[in-house]
Amino acid sequence: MLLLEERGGVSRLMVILGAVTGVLIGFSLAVLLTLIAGVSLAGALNALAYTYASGPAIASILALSGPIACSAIGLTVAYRARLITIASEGQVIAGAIAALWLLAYSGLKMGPLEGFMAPLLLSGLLGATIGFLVALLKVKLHVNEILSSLMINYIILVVANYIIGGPFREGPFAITRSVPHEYRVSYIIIPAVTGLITLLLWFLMSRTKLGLAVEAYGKAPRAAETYGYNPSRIIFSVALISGFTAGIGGALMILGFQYSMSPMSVFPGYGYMGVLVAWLSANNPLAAFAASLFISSIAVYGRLLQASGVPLGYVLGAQALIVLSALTAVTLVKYRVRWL
Amino acid sequence: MVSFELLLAALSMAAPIMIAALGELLLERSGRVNLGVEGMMAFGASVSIMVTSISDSPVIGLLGGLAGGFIISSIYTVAVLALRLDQIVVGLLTVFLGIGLADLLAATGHTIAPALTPWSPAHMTIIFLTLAAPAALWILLYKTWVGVEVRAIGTDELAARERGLRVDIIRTIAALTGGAAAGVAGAYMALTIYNGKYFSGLTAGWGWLAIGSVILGFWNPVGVAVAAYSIGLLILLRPYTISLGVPSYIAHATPYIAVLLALIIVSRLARSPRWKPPQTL
Repeated sequence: MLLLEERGGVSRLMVILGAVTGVLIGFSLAVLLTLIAGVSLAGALNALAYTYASGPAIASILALSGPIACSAIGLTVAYRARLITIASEGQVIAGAIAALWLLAYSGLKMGPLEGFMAPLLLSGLLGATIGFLVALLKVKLHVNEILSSLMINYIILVVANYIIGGPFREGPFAITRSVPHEYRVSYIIIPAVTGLITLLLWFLMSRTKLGLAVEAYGKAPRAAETYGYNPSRIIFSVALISGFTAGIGGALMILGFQYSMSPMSVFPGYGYMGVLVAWLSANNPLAAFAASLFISSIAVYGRLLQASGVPLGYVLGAQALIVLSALTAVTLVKYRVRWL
Repeated sequence: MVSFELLLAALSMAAPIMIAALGELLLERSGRVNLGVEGMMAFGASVSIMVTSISDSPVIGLLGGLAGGFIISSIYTVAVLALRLDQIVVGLLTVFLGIGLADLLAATGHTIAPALTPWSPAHMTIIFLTLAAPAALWILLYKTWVGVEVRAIGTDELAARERGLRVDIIRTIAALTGGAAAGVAGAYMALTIYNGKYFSGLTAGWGWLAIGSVILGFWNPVGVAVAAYSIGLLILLRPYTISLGVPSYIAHATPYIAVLLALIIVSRLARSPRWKPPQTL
């Protein structure tokens, strides 16, 4: 039998170094995986250099990090309260549709400030509504939130595709209108918004009563309940918060780089990347902000290689490999593995 | 309108969900859950198409799919059963990893292969085995010592360890069997349902529908088979519902909506102690 023995006196620095080593090993494996698709080693390394050292690629990293970070930061709060929702993917899609409707279909004319804040607010509210549904199913009807949120993602994908190909269809091709130029935001704005959300949630978690309640409930649900915390209120709160931020992510996706939508045969994946980031950052909002930039860079790297035949599914696969490698490394730092 | 042919066709449609669900059921009965079914199915599908296109034999392709699912589930086995990483986290990671590797493999150019024709002898054999599987698994779980051991581990891991039951070995075998089953299920989807083609997004959430059927069937092999069959029937009926005037996007969402609704109903029923899931889950 395999036994894990805790090593005494492992410092936090050691754990972080272990995680970084794991990330680097996973990343190297992920780069080598592209060789399966027929990319040359030189090509894979060139694309890697381009990802981190060229202006357009860095702009893409910052832009794509918007929906990823928004999903991830909210999820760190939800996961701390043991609400394992995966609904961020659907919330990003729904938020994107809502923002697109407001800016390209509603006919409302807005100034620069409203034109920026209103879609964020509307998308956030729609995301929070979906979060509310997941929490309602869990608290009132005791439905496992992992499965319910996944089913909801698939339903949202189908409905979004219907809206894109039906009421939103513009012209002979299945593509929607684009967001007018005056509403589009620069890639510089996106990390500013996600950075602000990070600080807000960090403050919420470390300086407020709700943060304390989430922390207490996540660590010891029974004890927290005994001491008078209301578990359903905590679950509803974190579901609304994480849904709101993921919804904002959808708006950032539309305002920041996507501009229009066409039917999706597979999930775009930003919400799922947020799940990976939350795990990679051990549910710490500040670490999640940094990790989402890194995960976003893998997405940009994968896209760069698409012209050389690397498939779309590679991106999430490579990111999952990196997270798995990091978690494994952390376990090996913390524990000694022995055969018994 | 309801004919024998329709019911038989639904069986052919439900087979992959049923095979994957029964494999997952075995693991869940031993007290662990692998959410990676979708990824194991995708990788099984891709490997089976590659193997079939090289060997020209869909039957060897099915075995390739089995091996594919086995490989991905061995990642789960090492990470969760040996290194004690969170099973939920690792399960979801293997979904993405399995799909990514499946797409990469398909990028080598092997995306079309000879199909496993419906109602050919090989296909009939699979359908027969799929029908026999719930009964066999039921006998294994409820009428043999091994089954008692599996269920005991799933009910109370600590007591099982104290009593010297082979917790880790049984779970390892269950996890790898579940992976092989999911791999075959994915291979079946590619070879029969999609006529020998692999494309990105092929599994379309069917792995999740399989996990849903385990819950809907109350962790009982026969119940799980019935649940999986009903979902297969719903998928098959999608074109009929569209012809009846139901908007196509609603028809396409029906299996997911149905599983969601069924989960709600089942969760209400599950309050009674008789219908408890394995407790160490």
